[in-house]
Amino acid sequence: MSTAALHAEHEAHHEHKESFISKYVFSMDHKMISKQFLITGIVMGMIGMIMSLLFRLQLAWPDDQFSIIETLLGKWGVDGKLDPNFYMGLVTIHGTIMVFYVLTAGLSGTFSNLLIPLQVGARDMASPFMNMLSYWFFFMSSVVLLISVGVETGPASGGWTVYPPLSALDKAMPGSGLGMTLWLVAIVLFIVSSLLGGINYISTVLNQRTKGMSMNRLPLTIWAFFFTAVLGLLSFPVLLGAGLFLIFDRSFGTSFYLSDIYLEGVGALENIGGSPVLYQHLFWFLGHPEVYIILMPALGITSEVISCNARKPIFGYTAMIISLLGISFLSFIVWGHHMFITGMNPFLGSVFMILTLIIAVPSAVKAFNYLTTLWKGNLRFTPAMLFSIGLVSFFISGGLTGIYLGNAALDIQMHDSYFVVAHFHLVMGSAAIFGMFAGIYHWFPRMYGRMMNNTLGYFHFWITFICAYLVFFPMHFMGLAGVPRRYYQFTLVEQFDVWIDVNKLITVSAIVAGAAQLLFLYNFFVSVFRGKKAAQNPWGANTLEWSSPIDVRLHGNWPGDLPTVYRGPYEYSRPDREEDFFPQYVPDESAPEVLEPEKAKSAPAEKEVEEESSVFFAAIKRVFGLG
Amino acid sequence: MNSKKKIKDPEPLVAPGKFNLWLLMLASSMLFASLVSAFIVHKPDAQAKSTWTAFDLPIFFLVSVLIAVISSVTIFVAFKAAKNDELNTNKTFLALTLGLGLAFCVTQYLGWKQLVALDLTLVNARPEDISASYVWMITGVHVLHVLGGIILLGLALSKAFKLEIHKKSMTLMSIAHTYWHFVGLLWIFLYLFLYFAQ
Repeated sequence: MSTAALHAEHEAHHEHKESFISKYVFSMDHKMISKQFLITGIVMGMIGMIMSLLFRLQLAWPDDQFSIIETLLGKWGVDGKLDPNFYMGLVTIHGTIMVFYVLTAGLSGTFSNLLIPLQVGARDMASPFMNMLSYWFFFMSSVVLLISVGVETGPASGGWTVYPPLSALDKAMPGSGLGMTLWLVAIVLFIVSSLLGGINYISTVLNQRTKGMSMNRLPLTIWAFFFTAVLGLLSFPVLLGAGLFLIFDRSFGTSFYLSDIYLEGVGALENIGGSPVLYQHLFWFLGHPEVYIILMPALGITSEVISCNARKPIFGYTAMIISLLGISFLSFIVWGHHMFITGMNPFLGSVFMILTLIIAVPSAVKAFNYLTTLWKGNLRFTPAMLFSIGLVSFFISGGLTGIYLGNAALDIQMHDSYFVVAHFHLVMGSAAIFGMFAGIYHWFPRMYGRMMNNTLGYFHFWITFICAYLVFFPMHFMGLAGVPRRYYQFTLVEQFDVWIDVNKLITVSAIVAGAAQLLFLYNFFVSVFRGKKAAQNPWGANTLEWSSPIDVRLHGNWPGDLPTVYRGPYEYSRPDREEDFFPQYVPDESAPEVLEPEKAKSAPAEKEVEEESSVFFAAIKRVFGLG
Repeated sequence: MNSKKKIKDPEPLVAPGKFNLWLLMLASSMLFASLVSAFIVHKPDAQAKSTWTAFDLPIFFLVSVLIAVISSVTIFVAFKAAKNDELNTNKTFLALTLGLGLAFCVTQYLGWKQLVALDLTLVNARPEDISASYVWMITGVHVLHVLGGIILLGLALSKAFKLEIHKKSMTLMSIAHTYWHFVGLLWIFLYLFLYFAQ
């Protein structure tokens, strides 16, 4: 029996006293760990957002002084003017925080942890201990990254991709010193966290499903988390490899990435024979799957929320899974489209281009399936539903520009311009964060047993939605006009001076969007303590998490036996039922498996643990339901 | 909780520890795949700049291959013995495997000493030796994996001495067994790769 099952049994027998430390700090309960991920993610998200507002101030009013900049940044903002080196640092750390800490750990960590055991019907993760370690590695990583912002020479400032040689030579710029070292330490800790988490997610989905929960009855959330974890498991080790080489180049004097470099004040370096493009290959082999690691959990959450709130089965359940699979597979063979201008062979470039454009097919399948699910549904516009629809909007408008950028010929023109910034902030940034908000509003009752305030939720949605478009849409035009990203002040370049008013619009919209997040924070934290008590299944959803009691905290999830699953997760508005939903865990009195239990089609149950030699085949059989 | 009913959850098909181990080995394989592909991608580039030399791998690395093969046999015997409740054989062969694991590390160390003697150091003494840096990185990361395996073997051995490894308690034994085969096979692959790809 697994640890969690033992634990549940243990709890079922006597009232369980837990210390504060084991309950809230080093908790091994996946529900508590998901809250830890969420709160840390929210804190990191606020920090990342404030950083973006600071550098937006600089971009919109490059000649003005803001006392808040001096107050917050001290020597980096003397006289209220943002220091150019620190501007680069802010951009870098904003990217790192948002990509890794908010949208990877904050999104996938929160909802994979909360939903995988609950929706597949498991007591806890395969290894609750590893799960706890996963959070604490993430926490340490966050702390190290935040410390790096405060060091004397400033944080890493070579962009979130930290390309060598800039990042490999500590004398290249102030940010390449201690700040860069700490950045690498933080990322290595982050990789460990994400591998520990991912191993658990995959193992739990494949190996710990409850009776009757065959793979084709899994909610799409679980499918999305599963593919996300597989992507992470296969791509993060490659980033670790890239990081190892970089660490050795930085700290021990090897020349993996370094060759023929002359540094002002230092002279010619001894490093010969290294290949800086090698780093880009290794980095983007993670980097491209990473954008799907960010996006796919949001897509999964959206599938669930849209189907539930349209009171309709999701359109094309199998097509949704196959498109996730297609996106996952393709994501590993398109990394070259980030490197069109590294001087790669044009033939290789066109191979990467074709593969990249093929991603439009599964993505379009998903977009159309969302729209057809909404079509003629009994739509309930809860805040979660609005955020999900917002995700679909961003996914389409941001995805379309991906087709531009995937073309090598166009990308050579638009590379490193604001067009790219607009593209990825819409399709990956805004879309994923909207998926995260949808998840928070939808599963808040499941996490805290209380409801969030709807009115504040509507304000939060509309302000954020409108402002996100106001911020990122104009950037397309700036990019097309050739405005380069990462510049500290482009009023100094005459031809870009005309964009100053657009920059002001963007910055004002960003500030308003930031203020709207305060509404969310207020709503979130007040509702945790004072929100209206939630009903057991407030949204009338079908999935298993709503069968586990939401008003008591129970490590082991179900007080009695694990629930049995009788059908797929999207049986909404069945014509033969009075209610418009039919939960997975409710037996159908007229169904053959209830009348004749021995004929029930269910997942293989209490079998002996398989022999060592057949573990792999047993897993395969289990995956394909042959067991 | 009110429920006094005895709860008996169905066992998962595969022990969670073993399942996680397979996934961990998959992740490890990807790490080595990244190091090996870096080698493959870098080589033509460096050759064009004449910064890549092919050199003979130290003979001790070949001895490591032999040890990897022999210790794979001994761990297999230990595993079979535990499954048949032959606890003494199990203990003997576990200890033997552990000894061979340490011997493996020693041969790696001697191999590195041979490299140093030839001036083939991690930080290139001569600009044309980028290839040596790769040999150091790949063997270094592999030895870290072997050390992990030695810790597992040590844990298994101490359990075996407490008579906690037998037919009905095989999880740790089979984890150590699978992982040891993994690092052994990995070394054979890496040796062949470094031998032929230079």
